Amino acid sequence: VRAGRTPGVGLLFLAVGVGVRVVSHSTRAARLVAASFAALPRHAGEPELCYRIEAHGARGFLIHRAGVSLAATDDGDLLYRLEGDLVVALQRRRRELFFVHAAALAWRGRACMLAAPSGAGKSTLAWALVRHGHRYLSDELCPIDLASGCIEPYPHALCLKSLPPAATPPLPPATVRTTRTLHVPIQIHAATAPVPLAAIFFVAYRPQRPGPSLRPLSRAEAGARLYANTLNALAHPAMGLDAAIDIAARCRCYALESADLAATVALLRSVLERDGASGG
Amino acid sequence: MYSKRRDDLVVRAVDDERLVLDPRNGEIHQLNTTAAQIWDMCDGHTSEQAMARRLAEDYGIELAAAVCDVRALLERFEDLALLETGG
Repeated sequence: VRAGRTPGVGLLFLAVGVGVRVVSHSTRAARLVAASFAALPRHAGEPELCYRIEAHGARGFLIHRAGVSLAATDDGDLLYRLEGDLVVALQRRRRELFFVHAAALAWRGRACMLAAPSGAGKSTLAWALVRHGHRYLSDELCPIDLASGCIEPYPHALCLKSLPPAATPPLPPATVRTTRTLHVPIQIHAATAPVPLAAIFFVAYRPQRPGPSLRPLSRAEAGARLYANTLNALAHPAMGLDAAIDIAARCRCYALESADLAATVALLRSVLERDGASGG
Repeated sequence: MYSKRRDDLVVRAVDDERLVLDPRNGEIHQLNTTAAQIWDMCDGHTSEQAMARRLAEDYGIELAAAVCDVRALLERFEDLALLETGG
């Protein structure tokens, strides 16, 4: 510890099977990092990825890894940049996995994926499903094992851009609020092992609609939509297209137009129950 | 005119549809059954007239309508730069 620097607080965890250490020389950063990664399993061995964070200026931070430094303007930016770098690094170290930008939840031992662009309400819907008994795998990153068809958990704190609707159960007291986001710890609801993927919902938020609607997708449309949400397509043969088609062919795939949150959750649950009963 | 698919595209048949991935820009295109049928005939040897005749026979539509449908689809493929130029 250098003179004048806050002593480092270390956190060592496993993210998608990769050991990660984050040492924070800032009390605020340490609290944010601990809250964000509290649900990921602890790691005992040597980490492959080592981050160091220090305060920078009045509100900013510097994130250091492997000789490269990233500047974050404030606490919200810190988590955004840290996660961004971590997600790219995980893709490089687990190239055999098929990474999809999506939320994922497990119910009755099967996973469903919610794929949508940022801002379409994936995390809010994921939060509502967690409150209805689903296990939390991730709200942002779905690493799929192509051999087993399972999603590996990445249960970082669920990240909301705004408060969920009033009808939703309240956020837990441990929720961390930054300048841009709310980070909801999901520790006790997090899945701890890979879960087979059974359904994919491609979500579009349509608040003006009177209610949510669902449309089954052909294998081709599902494959195309899945491909569009893939993060590491180039790491796979045929630019990842075969993998996307294969994944889509193994599950039930739907276009979900979400509206009122409670009605959307009810619709999604009824479909999962029906498909589960029919073995789909 | 004889239209020909670009050789560098990644194309997969999924049921009776096609997925076409353009490696130049990462865009993916989903072709429905009819579009897939025309796409498969973009081999550089099948004329637009022949494509239209095939479509008219398969779907029981007027040849004139089939000609319009084929032309519209080929123009769409051209707009998306999925065909070889100068074909």
